[in-house]
Amino acid sequence: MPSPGQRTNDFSPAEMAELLGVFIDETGDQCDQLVQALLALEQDPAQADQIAIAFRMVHSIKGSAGMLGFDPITAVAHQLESHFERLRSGAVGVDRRTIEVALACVDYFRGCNERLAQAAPLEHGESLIEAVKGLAAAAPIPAPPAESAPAGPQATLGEERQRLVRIRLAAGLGLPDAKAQLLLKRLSGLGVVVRSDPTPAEFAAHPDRRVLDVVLRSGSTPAAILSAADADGVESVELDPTEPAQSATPPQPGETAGATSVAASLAAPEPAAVAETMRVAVDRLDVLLDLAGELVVNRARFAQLVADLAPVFRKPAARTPEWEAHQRRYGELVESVDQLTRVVENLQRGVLGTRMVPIGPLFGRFRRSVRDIAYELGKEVVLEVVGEQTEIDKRMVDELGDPLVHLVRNAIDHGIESAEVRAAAGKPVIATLRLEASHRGNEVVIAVADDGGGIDPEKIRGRAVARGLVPAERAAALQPRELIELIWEPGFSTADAVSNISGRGVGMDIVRTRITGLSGSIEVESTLGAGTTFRIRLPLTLAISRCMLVRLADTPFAIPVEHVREIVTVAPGQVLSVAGRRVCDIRGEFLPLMDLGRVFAWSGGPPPDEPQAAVLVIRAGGRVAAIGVPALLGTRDLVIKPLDDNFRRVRGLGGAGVLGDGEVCLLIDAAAMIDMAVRTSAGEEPR
Amino acid sequence: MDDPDDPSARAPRLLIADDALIMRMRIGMVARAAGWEVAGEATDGAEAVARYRDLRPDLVTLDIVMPNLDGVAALQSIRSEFPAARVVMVTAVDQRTKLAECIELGALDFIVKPFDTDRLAGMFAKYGLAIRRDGLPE
Repeated sequence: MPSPGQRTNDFSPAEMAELLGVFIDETGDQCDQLVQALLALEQDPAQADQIAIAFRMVHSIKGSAGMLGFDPITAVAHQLESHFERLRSGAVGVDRRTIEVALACVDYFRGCNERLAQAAPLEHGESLIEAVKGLAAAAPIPAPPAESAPAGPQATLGEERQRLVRIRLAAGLGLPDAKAQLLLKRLSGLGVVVRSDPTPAEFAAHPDRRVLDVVLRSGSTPAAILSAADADGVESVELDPTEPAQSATPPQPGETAGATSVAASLAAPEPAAVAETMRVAVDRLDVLLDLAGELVVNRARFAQLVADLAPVFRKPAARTPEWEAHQRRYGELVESVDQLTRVVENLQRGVLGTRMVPIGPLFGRFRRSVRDIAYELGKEVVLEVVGEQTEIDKRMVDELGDPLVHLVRNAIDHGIESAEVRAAAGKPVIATLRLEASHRGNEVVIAVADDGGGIDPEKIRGRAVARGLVPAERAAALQPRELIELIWEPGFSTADAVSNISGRGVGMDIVRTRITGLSGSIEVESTLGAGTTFRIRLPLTLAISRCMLVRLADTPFAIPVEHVREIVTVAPGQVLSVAGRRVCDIRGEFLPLMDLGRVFAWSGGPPPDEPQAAVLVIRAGGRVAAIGVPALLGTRDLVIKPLDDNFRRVRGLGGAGVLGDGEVCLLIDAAAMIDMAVRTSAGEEPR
Repeated sequence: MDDPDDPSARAPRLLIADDALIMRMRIGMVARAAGWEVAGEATDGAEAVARYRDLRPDLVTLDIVMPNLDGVAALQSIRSEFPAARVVMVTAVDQRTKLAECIELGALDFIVKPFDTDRLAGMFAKYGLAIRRDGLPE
């Protein structure tokens, strides 16, 4: 590829191609480090170590370019190197203009790399060389180069500076590539967009990327830049962020730019300061997690087989040498399965770990919106965030946003009283809203707590009757606790409930549906006058769950063990009818009782009338019910798959699981089951 | 509300151009809830240009697919007469090419149908603040 300004006659074409690839990679890295050093020097010009790094990088670039005969690059690098040499000796100091010119040189080097990659001829950098020479003059008489880096057209270096604009986009944004194009267009109104990472085209290929880094050379004020970058769908804009860019360089060819960062165990080869992370597409992690899940199931199958064989080897049928050899092998098999168990558990934990992200950023989003909502409603609210480091499954972060927004809005709008009311009640005028996350066993608990007026059961009673959710005579008999539970009813909170803030047609029933969709539960606790706390419990992961299996008419059903409080056998005398309800007396505690067969009365046919072997006491969201089941099959780890795509939504079912032998079982939604138990025992038919 | 020309003292004014009534209503409702005044509505591109000229709103939403004059042409027409006009395109995902054209023509922003109410409200809040700060377009 000989072209003007390049001497290539020392190498064969094949050698040249190989060397060129290395040259581009390496000088690209060196440019990155040079930029870091320059930016550090811009902050504090006296850092001799940074000057040394900058010098070394330019020196290397010069050497490599010289070896390959890229004379224009060599010339610019040489000039810059000489200037850095003077800086190093202390003969001249680092000023802003030095940084600007040096950055323009870096742009030129990068532009050269792009041209080399496309086998295009290199451009000469005379104007840059002049600019660097101008720096050497002790008196700062800025002589802006007429034209400098070919990469950035018209790089006038007067008052302009190069800035990194980091734009974070909302999740699930439609046409993110067009949004990136729009943002670049808007920013280009303020200066020259030197680079964008990713480019709009890369966004089109990876729509789940959410961070757009734009290098902008501009003399505009920070406010103007922030405003230009703040379009619809932009979650946050940072100017010159101090944390390392998650990928300062364009993604490597083999690397899919995804949405989550995972710690890479492979040490980064060169610079010590680089964070050891890489970006991996979420769907790749999902595949790994699925495979790990299948492995868990297979392991369980092995363990079962080994356990089944145990009696055979325990009693010697006939103690022959052959039998003893078998027994020895069996011992080895048991050991191998134990070993497998450990590896599989660690693998599963490891893969799950890659999907876990701190909840902090999700909570962080609320700082702004709490302030805005409170301002709009004329209330003063302080947001308190606890447990930002709590890690949860990445997918849950995405799914939790809307329900949390709703709860937060509700809290500020309905929960927190006006300043006057608070003052009159002797409470601090500034209200506190707390978002709290913590791990409890195999669950993540997220609380949204306000110190507002609490939920008034009498108001609920009135509204429930007005909306026809409960007949007046029944409403009159409900306890405060039961009344508060009515907020979860569909139709309880509807459009006229409302101010602009919370009345957007989303009811608490939708919030609960969303949470149960994540195999979680939500409960509310409220004290009149003191505040309300919503507590969301979620499994650590959506993918694998330890379940109790029960059998109904030859079909296995699974219920996550965290929803099973206990298993009891119930004598006929313990089943009572109290005020028309079927209840079950468990050690003096009266629980609504329902038979599983009645819930899933297949196709409207008569419920299978099997005798109930056991009663499961299930709990969800602070409520408890008793479910009679015909047969118990024990506990298993299940890979849970959502039903939604393939099945009509069936009330009481939350998904499907795959058993060790490949058989599919249906996952019971404990919260919905309890709802039905309460209704059915009150004489209503299950729906 | 003392000085009708001082954007910091009054609600920002919106013109909604969309051939579908339901979209105009939806956008209008969200805008009003975010403190905007809906100054007018237009049902096609030509009307949008004429209404813009009369009303000189702070911002206009233009559906890309509209009869008579489509959103792209209406944007071009409005921006050539009022170079500082704030125009937000309303687009479906399959209007990518036309959207790219609009961005080049200087559309301020775009929203993708079907949009969610919170996002739309957020957008109006965002530009409402910017208008209060920056004032009227010329």
